[in-house]
Amino acid sequence: MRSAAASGAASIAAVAPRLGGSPAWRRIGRRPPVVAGAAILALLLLAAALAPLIAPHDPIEQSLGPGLTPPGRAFVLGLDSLGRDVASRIVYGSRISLLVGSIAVSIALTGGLLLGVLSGFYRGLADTLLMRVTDAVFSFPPVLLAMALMAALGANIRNVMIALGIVYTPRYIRLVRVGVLAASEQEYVAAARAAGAGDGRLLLRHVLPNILGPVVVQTSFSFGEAIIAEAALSFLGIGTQPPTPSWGLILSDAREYLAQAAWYPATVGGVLFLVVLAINLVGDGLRDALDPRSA
Amino acid sequence: MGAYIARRLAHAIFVLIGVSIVVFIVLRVIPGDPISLMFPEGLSPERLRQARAELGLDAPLYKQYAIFLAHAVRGNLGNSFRYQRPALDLVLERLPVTGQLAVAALVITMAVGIPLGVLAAARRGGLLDVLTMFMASVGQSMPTFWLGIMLIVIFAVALRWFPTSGRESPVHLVLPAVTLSGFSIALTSRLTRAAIREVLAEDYVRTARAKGVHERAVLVRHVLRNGIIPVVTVLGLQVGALLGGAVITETVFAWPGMGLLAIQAIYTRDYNIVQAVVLLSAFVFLVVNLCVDLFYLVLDPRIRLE
Repeated sequence: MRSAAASGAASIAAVAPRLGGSPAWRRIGRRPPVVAGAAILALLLLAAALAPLIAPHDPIEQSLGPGLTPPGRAFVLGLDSLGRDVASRIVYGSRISLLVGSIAVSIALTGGLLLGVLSGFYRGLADTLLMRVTDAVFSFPPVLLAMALMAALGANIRNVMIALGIVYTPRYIRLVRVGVLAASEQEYVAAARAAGAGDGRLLLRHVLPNILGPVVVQTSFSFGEAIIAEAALSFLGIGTQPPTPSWGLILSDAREYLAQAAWYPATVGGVLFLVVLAINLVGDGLRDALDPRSA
Repeated sequence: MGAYIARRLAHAIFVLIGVSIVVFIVLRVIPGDPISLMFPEGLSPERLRQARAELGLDAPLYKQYAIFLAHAVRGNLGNSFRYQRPALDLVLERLPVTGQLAVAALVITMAVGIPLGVLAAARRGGLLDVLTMFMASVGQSMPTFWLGIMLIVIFAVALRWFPTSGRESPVHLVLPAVTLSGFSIALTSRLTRAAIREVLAEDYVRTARAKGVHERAVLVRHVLRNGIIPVVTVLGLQVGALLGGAVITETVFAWPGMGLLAIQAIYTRDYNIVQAVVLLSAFVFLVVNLCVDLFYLVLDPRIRLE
């Protein structure tokens, strides 16, 4: 097996012509798991966007009925321990998951692109230092590093995004650096440089487009991971704080009543699992289309 | 061979220094003022200045780091505010408890993940291959804490085969270990399959088959011996995921390891314990992966000749 970074480099040459409406791309689009994943994600986006219209109740309104009312006609997914509508909380929770996932990954992507280019394109001391730092960060279990950051920053939803963004940045630095290094050695880059192109033009026109594939693939997997991580931190009580309906918080409530209400953790956890599965299925498809050597 | 060992050791030491800098930055620099975190109710300006001087917080940052490092290499990571004992001692007491869980999960991972990956690669495109890949996708998407909760609901609450939590007997280990191994089994089977498929395409495999070597012998003697190296690498890297996953698994099952200690320390703002757990986890990860690097000397004769 090649490391993610090395496979990123290996795939650089193969990536560019495959973007867009190529046969490989269309073939991936017809694969049932990818289509199913994309459909689930579309539903999730719709639920998040239309939450106030779809959700039958206010997600934080209590005592809609007796606590832990099982799923039924009145409440599709039942009521939680405080009599809040679980279905409404899951629908609103999708907003939290999508928000945290996309902001955390955006932070990591931006930081990784800037530092990865600095490292791979300009080399020198910055490169050496950054590689030592990423080596160090990779030695920490990601969850534990995120926990330590949450302990230092304080538990709230903004800090979850920052902490996860920091934890995921080094993997982008590695990926971008390796891609930039490989692309910089290509003859067309040397030709463009000889023709008088400046650093900015070289990077934007010739180097970065070639590392797009592996970065897109990494982004899809990191997005799924960030959604699980937010739920995990909130489940542990050091992420999103109540009464915000984070899926992790809902599960942590459900955990208190396993004997009385087995349906409760099954519903919310099932939704979380399906969403992450959908993201990973789409990610697998993207990898096959954009980064075929690492599949 | 000597040069290889020296290089690996030097790398590990460099990374360890980097690890200490990261921990120093995360837990000392980012919070701004650890005093206000230690005493959330606030202190008088006079007492505040005194406390800052006691903790060395009035010194320049590089000096603070030097002091921190000098203490850390002697195993002094400060006292737990809550237990009034050295933080490292408290964490080291819990290390074997987490180790028991992590090793059990690693054994399950190897016993299930590697054979599944090998068989899936050998029966390329067959039912087992498709099923393994599907299970790998499911396993990699399953949040650890949800898997744990559902295993409790099914096997502890409904069927009553296993206890819901605690660590009184070996039976207590089953559900947590299975929970913790879920993600690793998925990853290991997927990567074993990829590694074995790569080796199956090698010329020497074709030669062995052409010579009429039995398929099982080809798989065990030629393919597995060469394909196992990347799998060992991945298992080494899994130790990090297992230690991280242990925090969540220990919380779900009330397993009294260092993960549970860390999470309780965060609740009570006992930062020295958090610091000790994070440092020790990175240290264990580095030592295990150094051992994996040295194990290559056994697995791959080419490295011995370097």
